[in-house]
Amino acid sequence: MTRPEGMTRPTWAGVKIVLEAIVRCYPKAYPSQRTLAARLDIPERTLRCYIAAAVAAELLVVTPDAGAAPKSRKGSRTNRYHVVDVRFHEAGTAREENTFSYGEGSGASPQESSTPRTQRDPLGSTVVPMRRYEEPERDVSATADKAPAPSKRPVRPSRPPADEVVEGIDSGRRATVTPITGLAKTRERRLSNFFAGCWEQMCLDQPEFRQIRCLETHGEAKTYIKTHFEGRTELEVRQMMREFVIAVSKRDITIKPGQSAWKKFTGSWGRQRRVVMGDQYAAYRNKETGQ
Amino acid sequence: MTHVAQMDFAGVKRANLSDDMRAKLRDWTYDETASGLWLFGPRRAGTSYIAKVVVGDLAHHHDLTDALQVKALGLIDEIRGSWSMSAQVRSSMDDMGLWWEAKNAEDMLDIYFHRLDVLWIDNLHHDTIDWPMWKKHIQPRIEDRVEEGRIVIVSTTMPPNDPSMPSGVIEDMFTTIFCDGYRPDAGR
Repeated sequence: MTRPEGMTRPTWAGVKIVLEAIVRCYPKAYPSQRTLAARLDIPERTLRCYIAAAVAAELLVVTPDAGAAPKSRKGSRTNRYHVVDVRFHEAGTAREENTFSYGEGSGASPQESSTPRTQRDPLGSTVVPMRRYEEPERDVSATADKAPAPSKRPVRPSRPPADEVVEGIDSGRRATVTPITGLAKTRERRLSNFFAGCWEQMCLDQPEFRQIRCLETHGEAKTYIKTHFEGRTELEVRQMMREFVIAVSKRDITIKPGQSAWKKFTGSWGRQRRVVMGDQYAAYRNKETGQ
Repeated sequence: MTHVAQMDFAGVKRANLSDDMRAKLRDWTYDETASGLWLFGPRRAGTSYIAKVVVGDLAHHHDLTDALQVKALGLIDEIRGSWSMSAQVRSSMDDMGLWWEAKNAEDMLDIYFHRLDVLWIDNLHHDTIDWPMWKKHIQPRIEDRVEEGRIVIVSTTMPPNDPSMPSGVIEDMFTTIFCDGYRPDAGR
C-alpha cells in the first residue's frame, strides 16, 4: 500500500486506520461516523477529513442514502462504504488476527478444525470484501441437509461421571503423589535450590550462620536470576554462588544484621536508598554554558 | 497511550528550538546507528515538547508512522496488570475470558517492545515512580529494543549520571540530550 500522491504522511496514516476500521465492519459496512470516531478515538471532524481524503484518492467509495428510507420523509442518512483496494481487506484481516476478542481468535477454533483452511475464503477469514459478498442461500431445503454450525463456545474438558469417582474412592485408589526430590523443572528453580543447598551445607560446619536467612522467596530469586543471569550458563552461575558461600564462610564477606544471604549475593541491600545530591543537573547546566 | 495519528502537532515546531538543539536532533535523526534518545531535564523543562518534535519529524519526513506515546506510569501499570492477570489465570484455568484478557495484555506489551517503529516513553519521573521495578523489568527490555535498532525516545527527569544506574549504561545505549528552558507555555 503506497501513499497516494498529494497526500501528506500523517493524513495517509489516518486514512489507513480508517479504511482498516471500515474493513473490520464488513459485511455490514455502514458504521456511523460517530461509531467510527469512537472506535478510533479521533474527533468526528478529523474522521470526515480522512474519509474525504480517501474518497479523493479513490480508495473509498461512499454510497449515500444506502439504508431503507424511514417512515418520515427525511430519507435515509446511512452511508455505505466500499473499500476499493483489496490489500486493505488483507491488512484488516491480518490486524484482526492480531487483535483478540472474546470467542474469536487465532487459535484452532472448532470451526477451523471442522473446515479445511484451503476450502475457505482465500483471505483466510470470515471478512468478505463487498465485491465478493453475496447474499447467503435462502433456500431452506438446500441448507437443511447441512450440518449445524459448530458452537463458538470453547470445548471444556468433561468431568468423569460421579459413579466412576465414587468407585475409585471405594476401591481405595488414591492419587499418586510425585516426590519433590526430583530435579526442578526450571533453570531458575534449580539455581535457587542450589544456592539454598550450598548455604545449608555451610551452616552444618558453621552453625553461627544458621541465624541468617538464606533466601527471601523462591519467586524473588527466580525473578532476579531470570533478569540478571539470562546470558550466563547454569554452571557459571553455580560457580558464582559457590564462591560467594565460600567467601562468607571465610569471613571475607560480612552480612549485615537483618540481611539475607541472597540479598547480599545480589547486592541489592540498600540500593533503593536515594542519596540527595543537591542539583543533579548542575554538571550538565555548566557544560551547556561552558563553565 | 496515544498513536501518532491521534497526536496534535499544531504549534509543535522545530523552529521553536535553539540552533544547538536543532543540530543535536538532526545529528541523531540522520545517524543510522543511533536508535535510543534520552531527553532529560528538570520538570517542566520541555523534554516532552522536544520528544514530540522528534516524533512528528520522524512521522512526517521519515515515514515512521507506527509510533506510540506511552506514559511511564501507564507502562508500569500495564506490566503489573499483565502479571496479576497471569497469576489469576494460573489459579482459574478454565476461565476463557480471563485467559483472553491476559493474552491481550501480553500482546500489547509485545507490541510495545518488539513491533512498533517508534516507542516514546513520556513522563518518566524517576523520583516518583517505582524506580527499582522500572530498572529491573522495563529498562532491560527498552535496552533490548535499542539494541535491535528500533527507535526508543525517553523523556525523563533522570540524568544519565544518576547513582541509581550503573555509570555509563545510558550513555552507551542512548544519545543523551539535556533539555532546559523549552517550556511550551513560555510564549513561543
